[in-house]
Amino acid sequence: MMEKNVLVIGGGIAGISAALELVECGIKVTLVEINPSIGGRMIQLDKTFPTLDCSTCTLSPKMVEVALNKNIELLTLAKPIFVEKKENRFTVKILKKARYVDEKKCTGCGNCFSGCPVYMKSEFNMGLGERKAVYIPFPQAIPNKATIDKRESRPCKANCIQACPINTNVPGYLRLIRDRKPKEAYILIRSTNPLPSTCARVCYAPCEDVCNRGDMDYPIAIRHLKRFAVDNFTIEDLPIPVIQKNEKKVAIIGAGPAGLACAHDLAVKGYNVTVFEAETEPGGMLRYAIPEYRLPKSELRREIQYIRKLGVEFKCNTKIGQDIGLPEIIRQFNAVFIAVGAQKPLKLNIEGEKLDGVLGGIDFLKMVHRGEKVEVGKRCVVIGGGNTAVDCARVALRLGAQDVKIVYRRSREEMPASEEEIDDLIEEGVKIEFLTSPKRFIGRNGKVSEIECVRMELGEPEKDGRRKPIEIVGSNFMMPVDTVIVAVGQIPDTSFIEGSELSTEDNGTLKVDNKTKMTSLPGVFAGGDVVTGPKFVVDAIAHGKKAAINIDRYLRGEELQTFEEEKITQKLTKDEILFLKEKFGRETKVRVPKLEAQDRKKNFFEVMKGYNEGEAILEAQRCLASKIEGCIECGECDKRCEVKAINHEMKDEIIEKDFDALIVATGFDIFDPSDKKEYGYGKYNNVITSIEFERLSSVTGPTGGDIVINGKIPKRFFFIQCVGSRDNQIGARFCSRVCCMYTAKHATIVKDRIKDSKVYVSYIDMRAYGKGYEEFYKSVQEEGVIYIRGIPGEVIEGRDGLIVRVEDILSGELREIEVDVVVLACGIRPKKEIFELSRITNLELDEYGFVKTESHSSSITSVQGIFVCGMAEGPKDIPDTVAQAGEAVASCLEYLL
Amino acid sequence: MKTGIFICHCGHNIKHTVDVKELSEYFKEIPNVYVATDYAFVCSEPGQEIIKESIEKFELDRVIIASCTPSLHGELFKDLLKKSGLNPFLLRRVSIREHCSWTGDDLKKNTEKAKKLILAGLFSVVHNLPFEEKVVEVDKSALVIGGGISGLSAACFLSKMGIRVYLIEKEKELGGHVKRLNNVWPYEKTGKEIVESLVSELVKADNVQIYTGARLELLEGYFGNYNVKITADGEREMNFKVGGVIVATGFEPFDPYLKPELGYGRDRRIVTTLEIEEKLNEVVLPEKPRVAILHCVGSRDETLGKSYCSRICCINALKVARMIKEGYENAYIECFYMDVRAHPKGGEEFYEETQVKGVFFTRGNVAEVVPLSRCVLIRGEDTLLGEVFEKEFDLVVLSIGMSSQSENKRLSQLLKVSLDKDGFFMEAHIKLRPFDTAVKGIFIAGCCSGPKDVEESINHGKASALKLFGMLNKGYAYVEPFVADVTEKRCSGCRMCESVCVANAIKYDARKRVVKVEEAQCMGCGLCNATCPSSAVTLLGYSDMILMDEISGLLARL
Amino acid sequence: MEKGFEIKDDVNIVGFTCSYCAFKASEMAGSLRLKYPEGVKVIQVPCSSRVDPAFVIKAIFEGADGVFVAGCHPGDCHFIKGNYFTRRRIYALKEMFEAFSMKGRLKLFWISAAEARKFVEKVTEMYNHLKEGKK
Repeated sequence: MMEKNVLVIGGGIAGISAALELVECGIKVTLVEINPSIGGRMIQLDKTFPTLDCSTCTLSPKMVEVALNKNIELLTLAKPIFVEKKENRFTVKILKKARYVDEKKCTGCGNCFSGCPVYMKSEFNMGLGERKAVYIPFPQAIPNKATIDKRESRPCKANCIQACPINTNVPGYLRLIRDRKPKEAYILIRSTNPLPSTCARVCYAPCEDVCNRGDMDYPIAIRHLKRFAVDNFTIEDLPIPVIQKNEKKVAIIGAGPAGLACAHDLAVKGYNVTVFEAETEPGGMLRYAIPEYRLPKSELRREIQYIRKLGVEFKCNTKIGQDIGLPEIIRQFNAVFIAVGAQKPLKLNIEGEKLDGVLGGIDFLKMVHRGEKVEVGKRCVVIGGGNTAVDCARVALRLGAQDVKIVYRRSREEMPASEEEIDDLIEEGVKIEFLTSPKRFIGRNGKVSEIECVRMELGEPEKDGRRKPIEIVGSNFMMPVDTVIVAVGQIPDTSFIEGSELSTEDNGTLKVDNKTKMTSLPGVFAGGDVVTGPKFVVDAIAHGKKAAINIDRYLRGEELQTFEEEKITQKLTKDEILFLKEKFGRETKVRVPKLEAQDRKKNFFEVMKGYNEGEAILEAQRCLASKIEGCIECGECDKRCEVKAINHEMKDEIIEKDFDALIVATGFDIFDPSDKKEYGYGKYNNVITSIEFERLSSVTGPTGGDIVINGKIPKRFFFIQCVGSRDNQIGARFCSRVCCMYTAKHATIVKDRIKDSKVYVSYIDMRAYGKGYEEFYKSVQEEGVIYIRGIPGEVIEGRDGLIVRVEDILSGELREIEVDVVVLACGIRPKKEIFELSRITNLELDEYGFVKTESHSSSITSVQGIFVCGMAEGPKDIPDTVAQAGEAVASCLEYLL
Repeated sequence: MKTGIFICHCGHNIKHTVDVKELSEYFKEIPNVYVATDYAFVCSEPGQEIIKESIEKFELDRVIIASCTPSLHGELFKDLLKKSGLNPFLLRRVSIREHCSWTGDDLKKNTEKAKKLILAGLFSVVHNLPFEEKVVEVDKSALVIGGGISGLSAACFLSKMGIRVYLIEKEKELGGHVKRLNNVWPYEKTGKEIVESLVSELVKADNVQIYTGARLELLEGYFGNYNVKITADGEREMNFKVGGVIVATGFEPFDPYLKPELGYGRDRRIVTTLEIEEKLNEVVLPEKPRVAILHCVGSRDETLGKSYCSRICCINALKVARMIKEGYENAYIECFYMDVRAHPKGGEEFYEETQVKGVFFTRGNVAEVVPLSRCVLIRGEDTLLGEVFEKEFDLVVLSIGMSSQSENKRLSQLLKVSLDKDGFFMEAHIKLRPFDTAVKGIFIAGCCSGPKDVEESINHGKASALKLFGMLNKGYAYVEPFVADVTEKRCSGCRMCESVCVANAIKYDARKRVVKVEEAQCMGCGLCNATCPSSAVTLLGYSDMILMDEISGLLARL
Repeated sequence: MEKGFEIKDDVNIVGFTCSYCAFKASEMAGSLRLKYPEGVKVIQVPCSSRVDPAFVIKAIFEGADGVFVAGCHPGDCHFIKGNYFTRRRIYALKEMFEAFSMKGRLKLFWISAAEARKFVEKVTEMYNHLKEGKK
């Protein structure tokens, strides 16, 4: 008897029973199950008839036994694909689908689910609930390991994630928007970005520049979609996470994006954070440089308010080096992060720059935002081509200037300001003098009145790739003005470092170790514009976050992390683009609505409006990653898995093994009632199948056992039996044997949970033939369940629910019964996998697809050495299945003798 | 006592809401704790290595692992202890993940709770004993009670698998009711054929003893070692030893005399399904006979106290109808039924074909069967039409149900296996353990636990035999270490424990006036321990000391 | 927290849970990250019938505000009928508790392995009730 091994196919109650019996008799077993967990249909049941005991309680100990038994090799997500019988041995090839999670490493903790942006229908809950693309089907699953549901590989390279300085999971949140989950999208965005509302408005969106969709038609409007997520979430509802506070204190100098991001991340880690800010309110450039029509201050305040709620203390009106010295701060705090930005406007260094009416760009914007009265007069000229210049011009227009011009020494192509902004600006009526440079400002009575300009042409490219502007001699001309705003750049004001060991680079920025963000002083870090010179909001946030990571490490005495330069984004090859174009076709970008130029140019109302839901979904589904089923490889699970069990590179395997015998226990499928049109399944959402009802009433189900349909507790139920059984018309003459009893069970569950419910059951013959079944049927009737003999003709929509038309054969009358829910007691069908199995094993099936057996033993099949048990052989209840599993093993042992 | 405490971070899962450092610092200070340490993943290779090294270095004799719930990684850590040269029962797992870090958010409160949970483990692990898994030898033999189809199938299987079988049958010959069947549906074989093939195998086998006219007189002992006393052929008394028992006493056909209104026994034209199968040839019928078949005789009948459905009689009735139809092509056959429970595989199709062949089905209650000279009159009510009817027939067949063996009651007392309200044997779990009883090593098969058809009875016979074989084949049985244990000098012999034990594991020693526990039989529920008024019975592994000190730990003031 | 100091408003509950049902439910409550008060702590017993009244009394003596015993639903006992004994025993003990004006400090719950939510509901309800009484 020793050294025999048997393959059991199917991990439901039949397969589990057979496997456990076999090992008990000293036989080695390989149990293959096509799903991620064993348990089969029985584990989906809430209770079992007639004792109404809990299915989980009875089955899960057996499942654990399977997992612990050393003589059972359990292969989940696996199925046999080739079987060959040679003499008395079967050579079997088993396809084991990749789980993409290392079973050895996974601890089943479930952290990975929380970040996954892909929602899928839970098979365990019959599609009534959702699960993630990475999931454990139910808490008692065996093996209790996560599985990634990867159906196809991601078509694009997701450059967007790479391109974003804070690696925002773009495909992830686009997917959530597509799935109508803006709240979840927001949470995902927020997991890396503490200022989503700001970024949704003013980010320069490097992600869009590299979007692979752009190679096909247009890049996705990622920033606008972020805006949609932000608009559909109230940050005040965001819960404060559980923070385990520590005693350490960190000072942050500057409440701009870098400082705020750093403060946020450190506060969440439990540090006591104080932010020093020179201005009267936190926000830095976000607050004082970006105009209201692009970023409403109220939005910014709300985001800062949340950071306050995390316990961050703001000390405003406190200028470093003036109100408090750097050494003092270093003494008081355990660590410092300097993020004072680049506040000092650059000068042109030409004649007349000191005249009245010549303003620095940043100074001008700050004055406006502080609410100071700024007279711009009629004619206003802005010098420069960056975002600040554009902002200044548009603000000047809104302050009442009638003629606003921008003077820029190169052409439009070279303008650093964003395309969109320039378009808006021109729409609003601002003229741009390209290839023009100011020579000197001429004043009258100490106030500027004219600019002498000169035309330029473009020469050889410079170091940064832009062509060098060269003066055209003799092209000088005069431009009359009331105000000149010089917006040609800013540099950091680092005067506060004097007397400390800190030093600056040649260009005036603060010197730091670029890889760790720490300065030459231990514990003093710096980031943002003060280190990089003027850059974008998201770059500053990235710096703040990186600093937070290393401040945390520094304070815990760990080695600092080194941050490498951004990875190079991968382009799609020509062939790939061609393939994708063919597969997905061309889709136009959904335009985002905005205020018309005439409606906006005289006020500070926000220019950009957001997408509505329909537009957002339409745009989000253009994302290539949103177009595939299953995992989109966004990496959220990876980030959360602490044991590094996720492995996207895993491949399907084929395991070849020899067996002495096979036991087929593939179980069953449920009849799909869509074919029986008269009952309206799929048409009315309150017509459900019995197994759906089972999940709905289960304490482990999507509603925790509350029978709720369409948000309401139904009161009137109609159970229709023999749906898909005893029905010649659909070719199923057989009786499914379990539906009478499970319906009786469902009826009592309804009666038990919904006290004033009315329950009807229609039947042909009430087949309560098992032990204790008849008594159970009696008790169900005594509870007030009304049994009607007859098969309903149809289910139609009524005034207040559904109307079931049924001829009561006992009374002979045609009844129309109005109910809230119709439950179809669907019959049993052979599992669809059985047909393939039958093909590869030559197993004979009967006319319906159940495995044919010999007349004197219900487990002996047409192939010697292959045995069958459970529903694979035909419908039967659980005790009969267990008995047959025993019989199959007994016959198998006799065969092996 | 040298205890080592190992606290798992489970990455962030525990660490995030429990201060694991604080825990290890706290426990380091406690006397007898030789090592208290925390690690990211105690279940990982390096984590296990730390435990192994500590056991060796500090010569630990108790180990506490505070991590996920004990049901996870159970075997892993037991093996680790074994590998480290320590008895695995000296390990205590404390769940600080499922029962602490995941159920609350507050670090301080959780840390306090975790401390108490670990303290409870620390206090109680002291009482853990280094159990050796006990082994008892089992006799590779079985007693099969009942020589019907289930018993025969069981005996055949066991004998084939090399188990010595003692088969006892109360009748003079083997075969039970199946032997009387002319045509076993759906095999189209006679019952005799089926039975005889099994019997001939048994007779051939050299490891089978068959006793007919026999009955069980006594069964003593426990799994693997039962002493059996039987009497055979009326007086011969026999004693032998078996490892386990299969009860396959079958059923008794319902006695139709109990329903006098059906006229059975008053006229030869009123017969049972069993009789007509045996003697269809002997019945004289007109050329175009009118036959009534009454379903549910002795089943689903509250007035008789038989509320259960006998499962097989509908298909039996259909089979009889078809047999008659085959003999008398022009027969008029009408079945009176409540529900047609054509339950076996293919039954529904058989029912449909029977209707097509011209057998009529009337849903109705038959109130009375009156034999007249020219015919047999049936009075009843058609429940579909709501009409009272009176019909004439030449033959009335009563489709009788199954009753439990009257012998069951006596056996139940001998075997200490309970019966249900209908007198059938009760299974340990109606769904998942349909062959097991509460007594280890005693199984039930076939109709003795409720009505079944032939195929199901064969399945049952083989499956229960398989269960027993699995247990016997090893030749030995592990005795669960967590069983009840009696301290004799405390035992007053009040026998309260004996009365509550469902596993029949407690035996009274009349000579010593104390009880003792059959370890092999004990299921380890601890009911006896909680019942004993003098604390003489202890459930090992869950002793009073262990649980009492666990309570103290949980309620410790820190 | 300093040693020898106990939070005054803390309510301590000790629960004896059957390994086949209620203990499994408590495990699942954890896996599902359901929250319940830290004052609730469970002890695993093979069957609810293992619980000796002495355990309950000991727990009360040592400062527990409440004790619960949780087993399988009637009819579902792994040991056939252990929980019926539990029911009888706890009923008697409850009467004694009531006689000593300790009503509500001893509870018996039937919780199946799948009823994690019920476990949390029951223990939280008991906790809140006892906390209310402590004020």
